[in-house]
Amino acid sequence: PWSFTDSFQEQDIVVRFKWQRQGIPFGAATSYVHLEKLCEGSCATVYKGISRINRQLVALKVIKLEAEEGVPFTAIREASLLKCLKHANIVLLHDIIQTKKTLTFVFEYMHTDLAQYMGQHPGGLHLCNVMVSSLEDSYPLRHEGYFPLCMVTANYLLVFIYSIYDKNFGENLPLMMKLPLSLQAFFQSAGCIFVEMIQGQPIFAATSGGHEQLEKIWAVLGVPTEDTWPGLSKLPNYNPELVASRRPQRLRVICDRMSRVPAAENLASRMLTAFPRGRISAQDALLHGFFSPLPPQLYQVP
Amino acid sequence: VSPGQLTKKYSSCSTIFIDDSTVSQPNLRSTIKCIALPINLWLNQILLFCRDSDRSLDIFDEKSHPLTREEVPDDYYKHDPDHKHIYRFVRTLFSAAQLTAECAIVTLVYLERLLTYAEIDICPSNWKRIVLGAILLASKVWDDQAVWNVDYCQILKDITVEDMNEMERHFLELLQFNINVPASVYAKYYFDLRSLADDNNLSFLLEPLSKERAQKLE
Repeated sequence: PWSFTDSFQEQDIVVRFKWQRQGIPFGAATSYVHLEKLCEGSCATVYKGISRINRQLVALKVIKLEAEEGVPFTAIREASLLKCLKHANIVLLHDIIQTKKTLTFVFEYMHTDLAQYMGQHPGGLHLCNVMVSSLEDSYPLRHEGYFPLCMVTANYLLVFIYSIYDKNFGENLPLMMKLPLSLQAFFQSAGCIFVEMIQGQPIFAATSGGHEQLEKIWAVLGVPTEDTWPGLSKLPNYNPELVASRRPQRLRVICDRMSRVPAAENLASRMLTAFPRGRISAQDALLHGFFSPLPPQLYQVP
Repeated sequence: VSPGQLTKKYSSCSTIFIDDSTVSQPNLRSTIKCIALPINLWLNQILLFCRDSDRSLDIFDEKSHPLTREEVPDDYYKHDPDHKHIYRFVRTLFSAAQLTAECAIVTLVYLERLLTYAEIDICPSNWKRIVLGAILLASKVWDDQAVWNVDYCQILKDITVEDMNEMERHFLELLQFNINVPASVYAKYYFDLRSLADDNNLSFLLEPLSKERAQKLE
């Protein structure tokens, strides 16, 4: 899917490096050339790079290893999941390189990420298309039995990269976004991003994690009770005095742009539902009225 | 005429004999006892059919990567461990690292996957390190309170964390990072273990079902 023709600069790079292809193995650090740093997170740094095996541009996600920990379990789970997921809308994991001090994931290269893309198109996102892509992406997860492994983690798990087809521009717009993912949290995450794409601002923007984050969420969704979340009081760490009781609010009160998009508020609030089993499923979400303006062919994206 | 001692307890209309192990909450002690069985079986098979198996890998060999400071005897590859020996080794690791029974079942899945993917045989010279590697990986990706590699150096005093890291790298590469265990595979291993235990007269502890135990099992 990636084409060199849309950037002269990158073409230069390819021309400048003339390598012999024979004998360049997968899984070796020497098979890839680091170009420039793209971004740096708390546990990994992403570089733009080029593969000596097929001369394609790649994204190199370099995870620093702590000697005492070994390979972090989040990285192992991420690699395992990405290797199983082959879908047009999920970025390809080409290769994995292990050295004593680093673990590197070699991904196909994407030109922009969702945050940048939203910044470039204030109010101009065609939400139906974006949402269909992200909902379809959760399909393979549901169907291949990832549930047990995902359920034991409450941790941020995966970097998902979506390529989204925007029919208005008639071109492929590969996007990249980062989702916190345990499967139960997946739909809430997708819901958060959905609201953010409409509103242009994060819905539960907290400066610190933990309690402040919870407060922000309860302020919108209301504090869950045994009525709205059966079994709540039996959950570990449940503390009835932690938060004062709050009633849920309508999303359009907090996000004024919500009311401008037909059926968006209903879909968003069903994705954000706190009680995991009360949340809308991927299948039902795809059939939601919000997507009714879409041409049916869009559902047949491989 | 006395019916004689029944060797097995059977449920009747008035009493149900049941153990306290379920697929979602297996009993730890019984499960660990059980997972020693297939390891033992694999070893016996190898010893029966190809005494001089060379389908091994250096990284798992105890001679080149000793687990203790004691001298490894020259004929180390000939001593096949019995069920008790394997059980004790696994139990030590599980109790010291406080691992769960689910983790034991996942360990077995990874063990069998490694032997298949890497096309190696488990044998007296490598079984300890292969089992250790599988436990290390299973505990890491399965338990929420992930055990770090350095924690195993506290349990097996003479190993280095560098050695553990190197073994983990090999293990992951050989598994091609496929650590996913679908629910169906997990359940299959659980029930296979139960019938294997039955065949080997190593049944899970059966006790009459009482109201309290029924509630606990729910």
